[in-house]
Amino acid sequence: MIKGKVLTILALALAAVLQASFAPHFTAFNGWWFEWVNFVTVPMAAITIFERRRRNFSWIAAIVAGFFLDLYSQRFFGFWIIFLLVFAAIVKFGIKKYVRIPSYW
Amino acid sequence: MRFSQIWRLAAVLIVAAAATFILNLPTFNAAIKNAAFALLNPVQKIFWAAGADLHNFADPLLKANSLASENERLHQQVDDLLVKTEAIGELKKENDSLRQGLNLELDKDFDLKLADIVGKNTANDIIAINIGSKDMVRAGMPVITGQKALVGKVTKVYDNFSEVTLVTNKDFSFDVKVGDTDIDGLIKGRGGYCAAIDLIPKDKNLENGQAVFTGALGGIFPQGLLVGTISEVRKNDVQTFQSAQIAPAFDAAAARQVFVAVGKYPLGMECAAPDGLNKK
Repeated sequence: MIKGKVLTILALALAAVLQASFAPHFTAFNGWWFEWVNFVTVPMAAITIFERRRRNFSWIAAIVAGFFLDLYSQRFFGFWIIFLLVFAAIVKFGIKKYVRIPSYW
Repeated sequence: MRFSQIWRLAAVLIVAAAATFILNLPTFNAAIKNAAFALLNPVQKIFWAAGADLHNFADPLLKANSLASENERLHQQVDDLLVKTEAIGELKKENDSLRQGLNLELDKDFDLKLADIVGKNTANDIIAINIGSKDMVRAGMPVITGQKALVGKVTKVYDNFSEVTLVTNKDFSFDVKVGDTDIDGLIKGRGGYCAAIDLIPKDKNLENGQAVFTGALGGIFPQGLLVGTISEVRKNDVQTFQSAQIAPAFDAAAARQVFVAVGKYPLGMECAAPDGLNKK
């Protein structure tokens, strides 16, 4: 289980680097939307949505993913950490209260 | 929400705010980013190169639809530039011709009109030039080059262009003088851009390479215009006179522009001898 979490964090870091170094070459990723829907936020959202209810890995994932996004962001440092934490909180709260979906994490 | 939970949430928020504040301190922020970039730099290089390579490979494929129109646009651009280059080339040639004319002070001897050669009748040794009666060109006017070499004379004049019969035309004959000697002769066109000098007494010494100039006797051309050079001397015991093949000074194949002498002398008469080429 720990191994999986470490690999997930490494994958998020790699995704952040991909987004900063690989994606800019392609016009498909030059839209304003790519700042919000990108290689890091999408997996992060997936982790949050499909995580088992009693697990809390998505908080750690939000902090790690936010950290790597902040490294390449022009916003103040911590913006993405806060954004992803808030996002995770909203998703978790919404799922807990109103949604029942199969969880695989 | 229980009281302890509120305190926990408050503590988390305070810690988060403090962490954000510390992370955004300039020195701390710079140190973190610097360390992270140093660590990730090798990976970033690889991804950047891969992105660039993939882009170079995929971009033409993605833009395949627009390649045809871009190709057409570039062809159009090339055509436009060729036209401009040609125009510049023409202007340069015209400029060179004018400079040559001015250097030789042709304007002192003649009123000259610069004309472009716009056509050639190779069968009859006739050229067409792009100036005509609107430019004061009249039949019989001499046509020369910037080097005071004789081209021929205007034989037909139209409003906007004229026909010039070259000295090599079969029907053309006029008197000439060989170099700075007292040898006078009659030049006759042979056609095919060839001419020959005839009626020269056998006792006169002709040599290959001698320059031939227009003479003063015929009254067709001003005296002293270069006609050509002797390329081959022909004499035998049977004939009374000797003859010589002339290589015309005017290169009909290469020339682009000529001058029409439109004035400053009575045509064919009393033209002041130019003090240039005929005094060699």
